[in-house]
This record gives sequence, structure tokens and C-alpha cells, in this order.
Amino acid sequence: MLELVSLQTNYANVLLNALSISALYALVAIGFTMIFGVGGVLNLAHGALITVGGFTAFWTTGALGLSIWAGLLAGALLGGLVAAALYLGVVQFVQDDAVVVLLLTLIIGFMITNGLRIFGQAGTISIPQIIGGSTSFLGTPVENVSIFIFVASWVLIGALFAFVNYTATGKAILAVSMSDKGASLVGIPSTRINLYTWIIGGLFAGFAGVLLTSLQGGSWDMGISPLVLSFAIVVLGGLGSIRGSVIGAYIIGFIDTITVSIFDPQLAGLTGLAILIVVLLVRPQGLLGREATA
Amino acid sequence: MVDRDRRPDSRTRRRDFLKGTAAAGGAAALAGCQGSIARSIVTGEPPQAGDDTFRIGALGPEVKALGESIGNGAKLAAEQLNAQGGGIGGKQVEVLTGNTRGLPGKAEQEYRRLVAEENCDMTIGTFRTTALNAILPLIADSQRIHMTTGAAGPRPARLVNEQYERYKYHFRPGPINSFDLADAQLEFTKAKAGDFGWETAAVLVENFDALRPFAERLRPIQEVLDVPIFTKTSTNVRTWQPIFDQVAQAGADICFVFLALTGTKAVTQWANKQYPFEMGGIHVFGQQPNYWEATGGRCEALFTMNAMTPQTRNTERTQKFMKRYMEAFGGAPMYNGPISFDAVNMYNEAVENVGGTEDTDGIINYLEQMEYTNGTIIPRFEFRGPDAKFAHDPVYGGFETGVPVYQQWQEAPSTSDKGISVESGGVQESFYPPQSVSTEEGATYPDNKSADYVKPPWMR
Repeated sequence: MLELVSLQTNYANVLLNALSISALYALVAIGFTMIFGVGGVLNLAHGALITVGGFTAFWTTGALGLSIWAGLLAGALLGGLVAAALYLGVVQFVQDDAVVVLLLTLIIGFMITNGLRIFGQAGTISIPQIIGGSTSFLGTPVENVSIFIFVASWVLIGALFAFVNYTATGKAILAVSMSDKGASLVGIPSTRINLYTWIIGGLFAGFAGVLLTSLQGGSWDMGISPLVLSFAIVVLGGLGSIRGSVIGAYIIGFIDTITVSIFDPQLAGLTGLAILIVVLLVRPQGLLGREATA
Repeated sequence: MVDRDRRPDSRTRRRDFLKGTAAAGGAAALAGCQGSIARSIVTGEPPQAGDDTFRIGALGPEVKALGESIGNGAKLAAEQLNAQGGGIGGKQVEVLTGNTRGLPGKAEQEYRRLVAEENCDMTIGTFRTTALNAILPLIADSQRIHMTTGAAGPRPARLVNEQYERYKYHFRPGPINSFDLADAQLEFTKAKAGDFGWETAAVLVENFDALRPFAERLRPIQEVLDVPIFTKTSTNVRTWQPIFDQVAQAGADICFVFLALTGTKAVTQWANKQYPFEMGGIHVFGQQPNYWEATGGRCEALFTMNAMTPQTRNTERTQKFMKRYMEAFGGAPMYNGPISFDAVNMYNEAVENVGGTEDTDGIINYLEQMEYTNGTIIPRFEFRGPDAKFAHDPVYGGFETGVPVYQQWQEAPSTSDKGISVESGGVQESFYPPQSVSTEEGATYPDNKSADYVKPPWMR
């Protein structure tokens, strides 16, 4: 057995890594929690939408030879498109049966990712960096791409809050999340509102998939770990609460980064699961949301 | 461990293998899947026993370059032998492939199919050691020669030594085994660390089957360099930043990586963040000819051990093979392509000398004695004898044999004069062992070197 002969940790790096990865987790978890909050369904194909984003950027920049910015746009759009197709083609017909939705999204997610493995690329994929270089921050060099991810994440989160709180469609989304029957009574078409939330979730997941691939490299199974972490995040934050998801993403992101940085890199992702179990047992409603069992 | 004296005789074992395989196939046939295996249950004989065809089963994960090279290398050899008129033992050679997908269970299934259903006379492959270990009992039971042309784990060779009669059918034309790879890494580090300015190193070894014995053997590297980090990494690392931050923090000049599965994420994140250390060792994905394209050039300056590259001239046949391979398959092979090509030709040489394909013991004896000088990887190749600790593995004679080569991904311009077409902008240059020089001890290296080592662009 090999051992770590020496372990030295640069805490500034840990902090910066945690901020960057948490920002990505937040984007993924928000879409996941919105779909649950509004439609009342858990989308287990959400991880596959991340993979769709990464692979779309891979082909846009590779086979088509376009810039990474085109790849980012295409990845987000295709994520949204696949999510819309998933809702319109499958989920809307079975959304009242949570178990059927779980099974169908699990199977479809599996088919999408394995389709990308078989007909796309079985190994790791790489795409160009969004932005190269680094900027000095309190004496520590910070990659520009990390800054971009952090800023882009907050811009999107801010835009989503503004959309939900200050537009008619956004208010309709809120209404459906409170009561779809009540919303129907006042003339809000819940199918269309659900479709919007799936598109938003897909856009965010696809966008995050491109950023994740640019940052770390991607692969057909790249969505599994974020999906599992999303579970932990939304349960911690409170199922259905967007604000809770953002807070949960940063808590999980920090704990995960600290664990792999200070203790053992092989523990990546496991802390999220441990937190998930504890929260479900101790505080099932999470920090800001309603109970997971509700 | 099986008692050698009590083991059933070889004919019984071969019959048991066929029966067992037929039973397994029978279940599938009942499900309507594999009718031809079902026929073997009825007749009790191997199906489709072709008299005029010599079939080679090539096992490997059918992933571009990584495993395809095994089957393709064998196909080139078959084509050449058929064109010369004789095939193997007077029979036309046909190569059938089996996709192991890198999984032991799938490797067993494919081995059974190739041998019992397709009636392959010999097999070659696999890429992963776990897949190879899984088919070893089947190789022993079928009593057909298997030539390993991709996996490096030492267990098969040890079994040949310990239970010779049972496992003598296994040979490894290449690559050199994990222990020899570690010895080569130590030798390389001693020879070049000073020249490259390496004083402090981090050693990261993936927790991968063939690399576990390698890691233990590599420990003396701590006597050559200051090694503040010597650790195993998971086969599922996604975020290398925390690990690389520690490597940088420890002040490493060089990060030796030994990665079979997680290399691309590592090199992507290393280049993205432009960490202030060099990187190389054994990077399996970095051996792929299309890796520059696959990583968008991030692999620049990454180095890895390899058996050959599209640029090297290990023997006078290497470039000839490379040209034919690229014409036939539209791209360069990985190391297991030329090794598989050599394996088939070695087997053919043995058959020619023994006088036919039926005398398996004669072929084994010939291979054990053979000095093979027609290869594409090593000018003079020999298998270790039955009494060697790693029986039937290649004799490793150090860098004087020309292998392994240390290849580095570099920008393309220098290669146009070498007749190699460069499509992706990067080439696998070989910087060690040195080029055709005679050492003080009188050794001469083959003409493998194609360029000098360079540092990563951000460290120049």
C-alpha cells in the first residue's frame, strides 16, 4: 500500500477551487430543484443534460471548428432542447406518477449517455479553454476561467431570480410551484409553465456541462457525479427552494473540496452522500424548503 | 493451487473446456441467441473445423487505436503471410476480433466464443491485465497458444513459471512487464534527471491493476530524487486541482504520473492551469496517435514511455510497418499494433520450423529457444525461459535494446523531413534512449531518438 509521504495544502487554492466548483454545482442544482419545485418530479436524466452540453461543445469546437463561445451557446441550447423534448415527448404524459417519471428519466438518461459513449466518444473529451491565463488575487494566481465560471454562474442565478420575481411568466412559474390546480383556476397553463422550467433546467445543465468540460475534461459519464451531488444539494437546501439550492451548492462544494484537498482525493463525492443521509434523517425539509417526503 | 500430478491429462482438460463452453453456449442457444454454439453440444466437436483456414482471435477493447490496433496489427501480418502464399502452416490466415470492453467477464465470454465457436487456433491481446488474468484458466484448458500483446501485469508469467504444464501456452511478445517498466523508469530517471534539472519529484500512481506491482518496484526513486509526494490516485479522479496544488506547493520540478484511465483529465487540468512542473511517466492515453487532436494540444510537452511511435525507427522494419498500417487503416497504431504484428510473425516462424500447426509443444519449445530478429519493436527479441521468474515474458535488456522509448508530444514542424504525415499539429517525438551512440561500455542504441526533450511552453 502506498501512502502519502507528505501533504501540504494551500488554503487560498482550496478556497478558490471551492468557489469555482460550487458555482457550477449551483447551476446544476437550480435546474434540478426548479423542475421538482414546479412539476413535482425528480428528473434523473438531469446528469445526461450536462453530458449533452459537454459533447455539443466538443463537436462544435472540434468537428465544426467553431469557437468555444459558439460551443458554450450550442451546449446550453441543446441542453435546453433535449430537456424540452424530454418533457413534451415523455414526462408530461406521466407526470402524475412519480415512480414512472423516476424510472423513465433514469432509463432515458442512461440511453442518452450510453448513446454518446457508443456513437460519440468512449474516452475523455477536451474542448478549448473559455479564457486562458490567470489574475493575481491577494497574492494567489486565480485562473481566469474560474473567475468566469463564478461570475457567469451568479449572472445566470441573478437573471433567474429577476425572471421569476418580476415577469409574468416567472410569477406564473411561482404560482404553479405553489399549486398547479390553483394556477389552472386562474388561467395559467401548467403544461407550458412546466415546459419553461424544463427548458431553463436544461439550459443551465448544458451550460454547466460545457464549463465543466472546459475546466476538467469531460466524458460520457460526466453527469453522474453532479447528479448525485445535486440530490445532496437540493435536499440540504430544501427540495424546491432555489435559494436553498444555491446555499446548498456552496456548502456541499466547500465540504467536498476541503475533503479532497486536505484528507484524500479518493473521497471526492462521498461527503455529499454522507450529508444527504444525515439531512434526510435529521432535517428532511432541508434548510429552506419543504419536506422531502411531502 | 492445483497439484500438478493430480491434474487431469491435457486431452481431458481440453474436452472439459469445450464441454463447459458448449454448456454455456447451450443456455444462450436455448434463448435463441447463438445457434452455432448449440451445434457443438450436439456433435461434441468444435464447430466449423476449417481445414484450410488458420484463425487468430484478437482480443481487446474496440476503442479507437487503444484496442483496435491489436486486431489491425494481426490483420496486417495475416495479409502479408497470405500474400506470400503460405499463410500459416499452409493455411490461409483469418483474424477474428473479440471486444473485451476492458471487462474480465466480457473477455472470458469473447475468448470462449472465439475459441469454441469460431474455432480460433491461437489468440492474441488483451489490453487490460484484469481481462488477461480472467482468461488464463481458459487458455490453459483450451491448450491453444495465447500471445499477450497489450497488458503488462506480471501474474501470467509467474503462473507459467509456477505451473508450467498448465500455463505454458501463454507468451508475452510485449510490452515488457510492470516490473521491467519500473526498472526502466528508474534507469531513465538516473540518466536524465540531472540533464533536465529535476531535483524534486512527485510520484502519482493510479490504483490500476498493472500499476500496483509497478509502484512498489518504483520506490527506490526516492533515493535518486527528493520525493515529497509518492501516492496512489483513484481510477476515478475528476478534479486534479487539489492534487496538483499539493504537487506545486511541494516545489516539484517534475510530476511523474503513471495513469491508465484518468490521464486525459489530468493533462487537461495541468495544461489549463499551467502548473509550474513538468509531467510524464506512463500515460496510456498519451500513447494514442490522435492525442494532440483529442486534447486540443494540451498534451504538449507531456511525455510517456512507449514501445514505439510513428516517428521511431526501432528496427529497419518499423517505418515500413507504420507506412503500411497507415495506408490500410487511415491512422497510426498504438504500441500494441506492431507488437501484435510481431506476435503473429513469431508464431509463424515457430510453425515453419516445427513443420506444422498441430505440434503445440514443439511450437512452445521453439518460441522458448527463439531469437527473433524480424520484429518491428526490438532488433533481437527473446522470451524468458520456463525457469525464469517471469517465464515467457520478453527478456528486457535495458535501453540498449531501444525500448521503451520516451516519447514527448511536441509541435509538428520538425517531422516533415521524416516522411510522416502530420494532420493534427502535434507529433510523438522520441527523446530517449539516445540516438545510435556507442557508450563507454561498448553498447549501441538503435536509431530511436527523433528530437530533444523540451519543457512545457509556459516554463520555457
